[in-house]
Amino acid sequence: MGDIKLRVRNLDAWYGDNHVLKNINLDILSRAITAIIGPSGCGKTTLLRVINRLHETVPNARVRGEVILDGKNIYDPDVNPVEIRRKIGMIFQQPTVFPHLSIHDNVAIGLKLNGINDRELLDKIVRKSLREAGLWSEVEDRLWDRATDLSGGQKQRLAIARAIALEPEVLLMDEPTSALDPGATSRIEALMTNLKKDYTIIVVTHNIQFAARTADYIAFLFNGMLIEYGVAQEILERPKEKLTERYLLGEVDLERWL
Amino acid sequence: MGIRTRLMKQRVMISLSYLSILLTLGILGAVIFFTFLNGIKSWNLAFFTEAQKFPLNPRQGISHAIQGSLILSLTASAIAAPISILAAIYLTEYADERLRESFDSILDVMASTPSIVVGVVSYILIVLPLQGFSALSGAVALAIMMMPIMTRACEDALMSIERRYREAGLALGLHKWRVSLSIILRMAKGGVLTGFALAFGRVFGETAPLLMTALGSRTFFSGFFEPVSSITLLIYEYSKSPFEIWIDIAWGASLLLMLLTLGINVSIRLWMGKKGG
Ligand SMILES: Nc1ncnc2c1ncn2[C@@H]1O[C@H](COP(=O)(O)OP(=O)(O)OP(=O)(O)O)[C@@H](O)[C@H]1O
Ligand SMILES: [Mg+2]
Repeated sequence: MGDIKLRVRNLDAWYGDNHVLKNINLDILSRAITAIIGPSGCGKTTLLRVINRLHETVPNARVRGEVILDGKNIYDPDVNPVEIRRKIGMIFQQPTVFPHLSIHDNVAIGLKLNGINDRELLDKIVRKSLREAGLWSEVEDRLWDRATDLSGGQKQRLAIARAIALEPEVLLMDEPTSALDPGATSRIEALMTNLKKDYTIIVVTHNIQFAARTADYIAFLFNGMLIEYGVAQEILERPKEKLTERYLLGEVDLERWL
Repeated sequence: MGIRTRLMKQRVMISLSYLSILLTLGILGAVIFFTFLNGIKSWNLAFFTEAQKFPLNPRQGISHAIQGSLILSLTASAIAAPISILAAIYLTEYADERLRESFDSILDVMASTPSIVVGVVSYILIVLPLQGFSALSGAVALAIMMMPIMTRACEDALMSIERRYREAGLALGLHKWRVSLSIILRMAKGGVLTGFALAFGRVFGETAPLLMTALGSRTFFSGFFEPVSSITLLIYEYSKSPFEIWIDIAWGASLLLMLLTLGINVSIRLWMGKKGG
C-alpha cells in the first residue's frame, strides 16, 4: 500500500434539508485509482464535489466533517477553496468544453487565466496535455478550430487535457465514459492507467466492468452511506456486505438488504 | 345568438383589424414618403461636409450635428457599458434571486422613465453644479437612459449560460470573478453586444434629454465642457426657424436620422437572425 493522499473524516453533506452524504470515512491512496460505485442518486457526484469544495457553491448546500489533503483539512477556515481546486482537478459527468474557444485555448485557458502568458510555454503544455489525454493525433492539424465540433468522446478527452494541463495532484472523474462507445471507453481506460503514475485518481462509475478493469480500490456508496471499501479485486470477488453483493449482481431493489 | 350573426360579427371584426393594420402601415408609409420627398432635396455634398452658416449661405450642412450625435452616443456608451456589465455580473453571479428580481423591477421602471425626466435629472445633477450646458452632461443623460436597457440585456445574456460552464471554470482553480469576467461574459458576448446596439439605437434619436444638457451648438465639438450639437437638436432648432433653407435642412437631417436608426435596427435584427440560425 502506498501513501494516503486524502482522508475523508466524518463527512456529512446536504442540499437544503436533503441529507445526501452520511458520516463518510475514507482514505484515498496516492498514485492509485479509486472507483466510487453505487446506484443513481446515492451521492457519488456529491462526494467528488465535496472533495474539491465545489459543493458549497450551490445555494443552500452544506458540508460538515473533514477532508484532509496531505495532512491539512481543506475545510479549515484559513484554506482558500480556489487553491484547493487548483490542486484537485475535476472532469464532469457531462463533457464540458468552452464553446467560444478553440481546441488549443480550451486546454490553455486554465493556465492563461492563472497568469501564464509565455506563448511557447503554453503551446508546449497544450501539446503535452493533449498527448497525455490521447487526443493529440486527432486534433493536431485543427488546434485552432472551435472545440464544439468534436465528438462526445473527444470532448471528454479535451476536458481531461484541460484538467491535467494544470498538473493537479488529484484528479476527480465523474463517469468519464458514460456517454462513450466501447472504443472510446478503452481509450479512456488506457489513459487513466497511464495517468495513475503521476496522479491520484478518484473515478465515479456505474459500470462495474470499467471499475474492474481500471480501479485499484473500490468504494460502494448506498443512500449516502459508505457501505464497503477495499481492494478492488476483493470487493468484486468476495464482498463482505450482503448489500454490495446484491448490487454487484445487478439487483435493483436494494433497500431490503440494508 | 344565431350562427349567421356570429359569422357576421366575426367578419366585421376581421375587416376592422385589417383596416387598422392598413391604417398603421399607411401612416408609417406616409411619414417615410414625406420625409424622403422633403429631405432628399437638401442632400448635397455640403449637407454632409459643412457645418451651420448664416441662413443666406447656400453652402451649409449638418456635419457638426452628425459629429455631435456620434460623440454624445459613443461617450454615453463608454460610460454606460462598464457600469451595466458590472451591475449585470453582480446581479446574476453574486446577488441572491430575490435581490435580483427587485433590481430588475427597478431597472424596468427606469427604462420606461420619460426621457424628459432624465433630462431634468441630469440638468440638476450635472449642468447646475458645472454651471453650464455641456457635451459631458448630454452624454451622461444618454448614459442614464442606456444603463437599464444594457443591464437587462447583459443579465439575460449571462443567465442564458448554463451553470456547468461556471463550475468548469471554478474547477480550474479560478476565482469566481475571473470566471465571470473572462469566461462567462465572453461566452455571452453576442447577447451583450446586441443589447448595447439596441440601447445605442434607442438614444441616438433622443432630443428631450439633450435639450437641457448638451443644448446644441453652431459649431463642431469643442470639448466635453462646452455645449455640442446633435442631429435631433438641429432638427428641433431648424424646424422652428423662419428660414426656408434651415427648414429644408431639418427635413434632410430627419431623413438621415430615420435611415440611421432604421439601419441600426435592421442590422441588429439581421445579426441576431444569423446567430440564431
Ligand atoms: N444541485 C442539487 N440540488 C439539490 N439536490 C441535489 C443537487 N444535486 C444532487 N442532489 C441530490 O443529492 C442526491 C445525491 O446526488 P448525486 O448527484 O450525488 O448522486 P449520484 O450518485 O452522482 O447519482 P448519478 O449516478 O445519477 O449521477 C440526490 O438525491 C440528488 O437528488
Ligand atoms: Mg452523478
